[in-house]
Amino acid sequence: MNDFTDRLLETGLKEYSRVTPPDGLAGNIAATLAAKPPRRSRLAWAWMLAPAMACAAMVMMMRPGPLPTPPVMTFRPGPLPALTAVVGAKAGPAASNQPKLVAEVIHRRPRVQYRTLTAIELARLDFPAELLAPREDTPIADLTIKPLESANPPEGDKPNSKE
Amino acid sequence: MELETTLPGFLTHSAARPALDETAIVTEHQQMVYRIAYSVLRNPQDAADAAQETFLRVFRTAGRLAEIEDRKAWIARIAWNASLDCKRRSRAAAATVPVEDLVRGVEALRHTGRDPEEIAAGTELQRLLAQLIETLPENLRQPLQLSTVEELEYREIAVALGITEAAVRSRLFQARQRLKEKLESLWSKKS
Repeated sequence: MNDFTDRLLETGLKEYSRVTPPDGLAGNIAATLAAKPPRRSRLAWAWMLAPAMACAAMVMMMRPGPLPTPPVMTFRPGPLPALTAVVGAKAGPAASNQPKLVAEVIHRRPRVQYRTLTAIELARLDFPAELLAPREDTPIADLTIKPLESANPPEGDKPNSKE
Repeated sequence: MELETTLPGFLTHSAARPALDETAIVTEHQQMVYRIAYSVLRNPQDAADAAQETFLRVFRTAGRLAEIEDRKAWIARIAWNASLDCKRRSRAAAATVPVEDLVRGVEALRHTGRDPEEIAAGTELQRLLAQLIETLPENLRQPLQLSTVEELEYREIAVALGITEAAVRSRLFQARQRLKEKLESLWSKKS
């Protein structure tokens, strides 16, 4: 029985899908393919938009930030030499009598410098201004103590006593 | 430089694309595709419809066809998926003959002294096998169905199912063992 079953099963599985396509199947398929219009990929629109989006992204990335201000060059003449009349004196080198030009670079933007606050400045931040305003000290009047006035002064206190 | 030569092919008119020899591809693979569909659907008409659907899907992505190295395995995979989709869509259940009647018919042929090879080619055993294969779990049934298509090698079955070749061999062995056990239990019940 086992041998019979083995042979039966093996042959049966070989014949299981051993079928022949019906005549004309290839022709029907070819005709169906020819009749169907070509289908564009769903990604066609993505392909069209992708370059435009890439260019937009590049423009956004390459957009210039705030331009650095170029330094302004100014020429400020130096102090003029005292004019003295020299008779017969030989003229010195022309460059020594010429005003010296000093080039200064002036930055339009003031440079910000940071420093530590002093104690008084820190205190002024915490306390209102009127408390910290300098005040004039009020003069204190002299203290005078008047002696007590009475009819019977105490004996011990009499001046010039007999003892 | 013309625009058509720089854009991808599917953006231009179909006439400008390099034409694939669709007829040659259909002629070369139609038998394999039809047999794959028949192994699943067990109906000639449904198998023909599934084969047509397969080639429509194949040429829908014609741009990739030229890049694929193993075209046969790729088409087999599409045929397998198309056949399964057709089977799911098919609402009407195939008329099944009771198993006992089929076993009785095979036994009758055996008693006439016919060889197993002759009996195996008959309608009774093929129907019996189809019903027994449907009772197998899916992971064993699918490799067995594809293995009955003689055009497919184990490697191509593995590609179609998305498993390894070792898994195909292992599952085929288990599927045949189970079929053998079922057949022997039917013979023993009959006897």
